[in-house]
Amino acid sequence: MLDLKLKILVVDDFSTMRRIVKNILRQIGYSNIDEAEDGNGALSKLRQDKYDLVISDWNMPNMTGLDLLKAIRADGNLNGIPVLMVTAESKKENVVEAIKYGVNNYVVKPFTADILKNKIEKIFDGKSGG
Amino acid sequence: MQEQKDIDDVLQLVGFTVGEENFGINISEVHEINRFEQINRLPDLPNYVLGVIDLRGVVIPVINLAEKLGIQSREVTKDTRIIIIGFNEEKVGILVDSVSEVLRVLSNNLEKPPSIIKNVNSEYIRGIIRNNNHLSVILDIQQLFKDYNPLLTKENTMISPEIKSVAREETSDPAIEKIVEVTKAMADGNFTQEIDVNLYGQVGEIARYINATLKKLQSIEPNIAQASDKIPEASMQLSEITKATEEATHSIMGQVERVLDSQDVILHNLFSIEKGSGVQNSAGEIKQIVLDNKETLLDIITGLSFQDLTGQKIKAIISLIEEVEKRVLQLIVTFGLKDKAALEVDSPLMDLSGKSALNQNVVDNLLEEFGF
Repeated sequence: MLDLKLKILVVDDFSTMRRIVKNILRQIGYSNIDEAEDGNGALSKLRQDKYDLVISDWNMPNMTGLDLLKAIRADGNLNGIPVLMVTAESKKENVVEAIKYGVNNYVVKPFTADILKNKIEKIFDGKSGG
Repeated sequence: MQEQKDIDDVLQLVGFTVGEENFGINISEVHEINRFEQINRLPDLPNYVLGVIDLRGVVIPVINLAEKLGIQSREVTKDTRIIIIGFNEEKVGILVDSVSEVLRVLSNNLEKPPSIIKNVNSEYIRGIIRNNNHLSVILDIQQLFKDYNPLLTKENTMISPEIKSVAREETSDPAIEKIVEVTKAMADGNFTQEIDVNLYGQVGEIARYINATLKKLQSIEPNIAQASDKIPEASMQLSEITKATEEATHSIMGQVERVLDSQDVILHNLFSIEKGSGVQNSAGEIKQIVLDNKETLLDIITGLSFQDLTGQKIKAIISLIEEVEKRVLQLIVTFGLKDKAALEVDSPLMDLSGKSALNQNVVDNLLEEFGF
């Protein structure tokens, strides 16, 4: 079952993409959604507030999604936060690299609401189930 | 699906004119393109061989292409060029009235020559292409000169055998001072000077190299200037497109959000109707929402017309890029084609067609392999 009270941080340099992801999340039923423009912005938000899930793009200026993932996993206070990559970077080496640094799941753009919902469910099922 | 044509099918041609006619030859046959210089006549040459030129110390025969093709050539002008081509592992210059452009054509667009062509013997012709409003005849250089018997053998192609006998001391020479001066000017970006080449020995050779380099630099300068002029224009257009698409997307999303929100109100009213309470009111509210939504949906469709505007801008940018590409190719031709691979079209940096990208299913399978 999805916990609709989850606080989610959407990270993407394109304001339109953030809005699309937010809209889809709202349709799924999430209402506690915050956003950041790049990895740097995301990190400072994550350090100020408690978030339950990060949904991040890969290609961003200043700090990429992969660097954000590395930084989250390297930070003792943040390393438990699940990270879902939503990105056009769908080459095998990118996926493998994200897995290597502890991504929780990976969605390829363009995606549907169903895919996003399914991936979020998977992340939290996996957490509660073991 | 025009853009999906195989890259291998693109022919790159150097376009040039002889008399009133347009011609093209495959760029891979062209070593370099030089301005007209003094051609030294030699005795007993076939009438289509004009004589020889000194290309950085190597003697190269120059062919009168007009004579060979049996057409009327123009007088030597500032546009006259000598195209240096590779032929039987030697270099041969061909005299043309002007070099117009580097053409990129799909080999499918190469039309078969008609069986009878005025003035030109058709066995030299690889095909004909339509370029803007004129026809260009694509020549097969190897066929064209298949009967040509190089009169100059390897032994006598090295310049100035007298050099060895006239070798002399070259210490503090005014010639060397001149060379230093011109070379310094070159380093400062001044390519207009030239060295008096009535010099012998190694100094003379250096002077000739420097002069040849200067000539090339003079010819590339306008190319670079014109190519780099276009870049700011293209990036400005691209920034505008990014802004326009962002604005349009936000405006459309705002409208969609309104429609989405109205669904909740409709649902709420339908529940009331289901329970049988306030039927008339609910029906009235739903009617109003549906009417509003129809209008909003039409607005969305009109809003999507931004694609037309951005599409036109992108087309303009593509033609700018092609223009820059042409000029860069001309530079490559000017500097000789040492590395043919450099001319081949690279695969795009980012494949937006998604052909090489994995889709979600493939990514999911990969995730599964890692125990997700």
